[in-house]
Parts: sequence; C-alpha cells; structure tokens
Amino acid sequence: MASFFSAGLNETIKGYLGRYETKRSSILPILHAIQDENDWISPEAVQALEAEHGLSVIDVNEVLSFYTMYRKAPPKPYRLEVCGSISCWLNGADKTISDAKSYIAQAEKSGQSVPFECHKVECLGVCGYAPVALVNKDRYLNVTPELARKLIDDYSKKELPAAAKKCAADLAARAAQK
Amino acid sequence: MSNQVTLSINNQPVTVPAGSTIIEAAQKAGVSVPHFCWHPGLSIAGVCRFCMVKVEGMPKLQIACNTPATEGMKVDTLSDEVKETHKWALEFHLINHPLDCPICDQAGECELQNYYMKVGKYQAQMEDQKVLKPKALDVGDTLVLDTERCILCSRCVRFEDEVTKTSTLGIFNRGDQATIGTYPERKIKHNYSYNLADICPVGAFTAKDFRFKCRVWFLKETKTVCPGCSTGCSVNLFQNSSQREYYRLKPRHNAEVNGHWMCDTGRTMYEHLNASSRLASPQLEGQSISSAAAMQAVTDAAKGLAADKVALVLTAQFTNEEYVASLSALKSVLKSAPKVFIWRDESEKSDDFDGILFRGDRNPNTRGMMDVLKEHGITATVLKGDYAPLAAAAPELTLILAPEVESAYPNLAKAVGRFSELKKTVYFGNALTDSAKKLWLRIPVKTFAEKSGTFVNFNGVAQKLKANPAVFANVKGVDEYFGDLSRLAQSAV
Repeated sequence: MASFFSAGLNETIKGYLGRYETKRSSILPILHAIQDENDWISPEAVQALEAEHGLSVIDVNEVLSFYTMYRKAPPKPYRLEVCGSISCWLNGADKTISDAKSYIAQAEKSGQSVPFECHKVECLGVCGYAPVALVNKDRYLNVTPELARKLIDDYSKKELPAAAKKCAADLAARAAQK
Repeated sequence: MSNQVTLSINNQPVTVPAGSTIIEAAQKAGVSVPHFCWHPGLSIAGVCRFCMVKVEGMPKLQIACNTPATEGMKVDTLSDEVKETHKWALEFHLINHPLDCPICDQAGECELQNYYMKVGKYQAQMEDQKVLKPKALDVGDTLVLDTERCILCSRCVRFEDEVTKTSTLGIFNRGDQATIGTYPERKIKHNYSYNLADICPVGAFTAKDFRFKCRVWFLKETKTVCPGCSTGCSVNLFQNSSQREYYRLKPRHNAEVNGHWMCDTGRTMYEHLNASSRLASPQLEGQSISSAAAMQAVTDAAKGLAADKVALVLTAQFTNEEYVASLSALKSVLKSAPKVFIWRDESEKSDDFDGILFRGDRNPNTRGMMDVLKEHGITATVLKGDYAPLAAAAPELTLILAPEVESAYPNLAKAVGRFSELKKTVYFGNALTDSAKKLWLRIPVKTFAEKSGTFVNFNGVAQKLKANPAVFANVKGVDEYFGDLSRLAQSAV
C-alpha cells in the first residue's frame, strides 16, 4: 500500500524516530515536519503515524491537542500572525490585527477570494521593532495597518506555497473519495 | 550501608526498606495519607498534589508519594498547615466537578467524597462558571465515562500503558479543558477493563454491569477465590444479604497470585450464583424430590455393584475437601475405588495464557484435583471431546461432578447428551439446559460462594473459600451428599 506521507517526509520522520530514546520523544518535531509539508495535521496523518511508524494515536493526540500552534483543521494558504504581547500591543498590534481582519472580510464579502487568514500570536521575540508579524515563516517588522494590507495584496499575487497546493490537492482527493 | 531506614511519622518510629517513599512508610505505620493519583500497583505520577505532608527541615510541604523516606526523617501528617493544604488541594479538584453525588454510581465508595467529608466541608469560593465536558460516554462494552467527574489523576491512563499495554486512553487538551478519553471511534477492548472502574478514585469510570443496580452500602463483602480459571485470583464477592442476591466481584490484593487486578471474565462469576440461574431441588426422571430421597436413590442404585461398574466423572471445579469426601465415601461403599474419569471441555486449550492473569485452563482446582487423585493412587482417564472410554466401561451407575461455571464448558450440552446415553447417571450440578433433563437424577450443589474449602491454583498456591448462607437452604455440598451416601449404605448393612 502506498504511504500516506511523501518519500522525503517518511525519511524525515524515520530520522526523528531514531534520534531519541523513546518513539514518543520524537512526536513534536515529527508533527512540525508534517505540518510544514501538508499545511495541517489531519486525522488521517495521525492514524498513518500509528500504522506506518508505530506511534500510538493516543500519544500523538495528547501532544497535538495540547499545543495550539499545530493546525488541526485545513488553513488558508497564508497566515498573517501578528504578535499581541506587551511591546507590540503597546505599539498598536491590536489595530493592525483588526484592520487586517476586516480588510480580508470585506474583500471576501465582495466575492473576491483572499488566500489569507489573520491571527494574534504570542511574543515573536523582536520587541525592538514592534509590532512584529509573520507571514507563514517570513518575518516583518513595524507592521502598521498599511503594511499589513500591502503584505496581503503582495502575497495574494504570488504563486501559492507548495504546502498550500498539497493541502488543496489532498482535500480534493478526500472529497472525490467520498 | 544498611538497606533499611528508620523515620518517624507523627512521632511514631517506622522502619522501611531504603528507597521506599513516605506514603509507603505511612501505610506501614498505619497512618493514612489522603491521596488520589498514587496507587501501589502503578507508577508514581505525583499529579494530584493531595498527599502533602510536613517534613521537618524542609521549607515547604512535600508530596508523600514521591518523596523518598530517609534515615531520621521526621514526618508530620496532622498539623494545621497540612490540614489547610488538604482543604485547598481538595477545593482545586472540586472547581469543575459537577457535585452530582446523589445520582453518581460511585457515591459511597468515592475517594473524593470521602475526603471531602474528612478534610473539606467548606463553602465554595469560585465566582467562575464550571467548565462543561462530555458526559455518559460509551467507551467500551463494559464502561461508561463521565469526564466532568474526572480529576485527571491519570491512574486509568497509566493502567492502560503499564498493565494491559493497550494505551487506549489519554489526556487531551490542556488546563481546565483537559479531558480523559479514547481516540475518536476507538473503544477500550481488553479483558481487564473493569479494573479501570475499580482504580478510578471518583465516579468518572463506572461499570455498565453494576451501575444503578445497587447502592454499595447495602453490599456485604466476602473474601474468597475466583473460580473462573486456574489462576485463582483473590477476590471480594459482594452480596446484598437481605436480598440474597450477588452483584459483583472485585479483586483483593494478593502479591502471590493476582497482584491488584482481575480479568473481566472473572467479574461474571457472580451470575451463576443467583437463584434465577439455578436448579432448586433434585430431579429424579424429571420429578422434584427431596435431597434425602435423592441420596437414598443413589444408595439403592449403588447397592451390590462391583466397583468397576461405577464411574466417577470429575471436573476440576470442586474443592480438595469435596474430592476427598467423594472418593473416600465411594471406596467405603464399594470396597474399592470406582473408575475415575476427568471431564475437560473439548475446546479447552489448557496451556493458553494471556500474559497477565487469565489462563486457558478454565478450572480453578486442576492442581488440587490431580493431587488428591495421586494421594488416593487413582489413575484417571481424560474425556476431552471423546466419550468412548466412558461408554466402553459400560458403568451401571455414573456419578458426575459437573462444572459449576458452565460458561467455561462451551460444549457442555453435547457432553451431557452423551452422558444421557449411559445407564443410571447422577449429575451433581446446577445445569438448567434441556439436555440435562434427560439424565436419570440431577442433584443441585452448593456454589463456591456457599462452601468452605480449598482451591489450589496452577502454581500450587492453596487458598480458602469462605461460605455464605446458601441461596437454597436445602441444597448441600458434594462432601455432605457423599457423607449421606456412606451413612445410608452403612445403615442398610
């Protein structure tokens, strides 16, 4: 039977499994690797970890449900993650967040599809340039509402990231199966 | 260095092996330290923070379950500081607890309830609403899970990891949303699931087989032995003595035999004890007769028979005392030993073992029976699916000590059918099956709950049964019936 994971991802997972004393210890980096490639961690992925790599679904689910930064539902292709901790908050992070959210909502109301979602996150560790934000894994400093809008526009014009494409393809395949 | 340490608990000295924890030392000293997550049969989790004790010289209170006892240590479990801490720890456990004790099946044997009555009793101080969580979840064939009652002690999770190694349970989410559960669509499927209801210190896991049937304070417990297989777990049998109704079995700690646990098959061993599933009086060719008349009929049938025309068919579900009584009585009546057969179920795989407790030999006293036969110098023929050796002996009278636990003999009806082809068969057993009606004489016997006696397990450990009053007053044990037989035979001479 074909593996649920790509050949490269299987190699990565095996690497982590061999790195620690117990298999359980490797759950965190393995889930990150899956999230990086598939954009989220589906129940199918959890079950495949048990079937193909011998990790118990209970152990994986305990870790997965404990941490909020693992995505348990399919996300949009880009995530604008604005720091809401104290320095960024004092420098207007809340305004950036609410503005970006309404910018996305308005565009969608007019029938446009925007490949973006916006979240408040905890400290990103660059307090000197508050407010700080991430778009997926790219870092931006001094993110005013204007810069946030520009980021949304610019990224929306680019080709979608590989993980987002894989996520969409997986979902389409799953829908076709049903 | 000595491998014993001596410490004092509430000024009382106690000596324990080095490496013991304070809670173990306290148990030895007879001092009770309140606890939820600690269990002597499981690893230490240290999560409930309830077993706090004062150790002289340490600035803060320590958890007794995970603090090693050391030489000269002075432990105090009674000070106001300790009591105050218990109160607060309890309050934290009760923040999200629904306090539905009146409708909870654990009420009366709930550690949370007990400790509340002992060290709690205060007005709640929380302004926040309680967190609501899933209730009455069906987590398997035997258990119901109420996650609101759970205090997250993780005993069940560790049981699944360490004892059955099935790892079916986990703690999901975090903080006050943390919840015990199975993986979606998966259930607890193993033969030890009722232990989860036992070790759950609160009413989160309750047993489908017992919940809402009887309040525990109406039950009286008897220390006895499980008759379900050749392991012979030490158990407590629970009876509502005013109803004369048995409700359940629970394991009783015995390091030599079963440790802390027992299997789900063993938990069903109360079902055949109750009146509704038992033969109430002897049946001679389908007619009810008295016990005295039944034994008179057996005596008459045995009169003048040569020993080799009498067959004794044994199953390994009776006590040593009963085997001795029946063999001695027959020897004295017949002047020599009868032909002895051992009836095993044809599907039995006696060497099977599940790696925990349950054995393929579903008879509790195989070892004891073989020892008694050896002492009497008798070589028995085994009947396992093939009844030809018994038929070939052409007995005029066949006495059968039938299995008390009929579920251990899935092919019972077939065997009884073959026995009914023989001449006079006397069946000492409670079988209500149709095929049993064809037998010449059926005599009901006492069950393991109603007699004293000895079972010897697979490993040679002898354990005593303890007798409760019989469900039917007229029903006797096999040893009593055979005593009657030798008396009647003697008085006839």
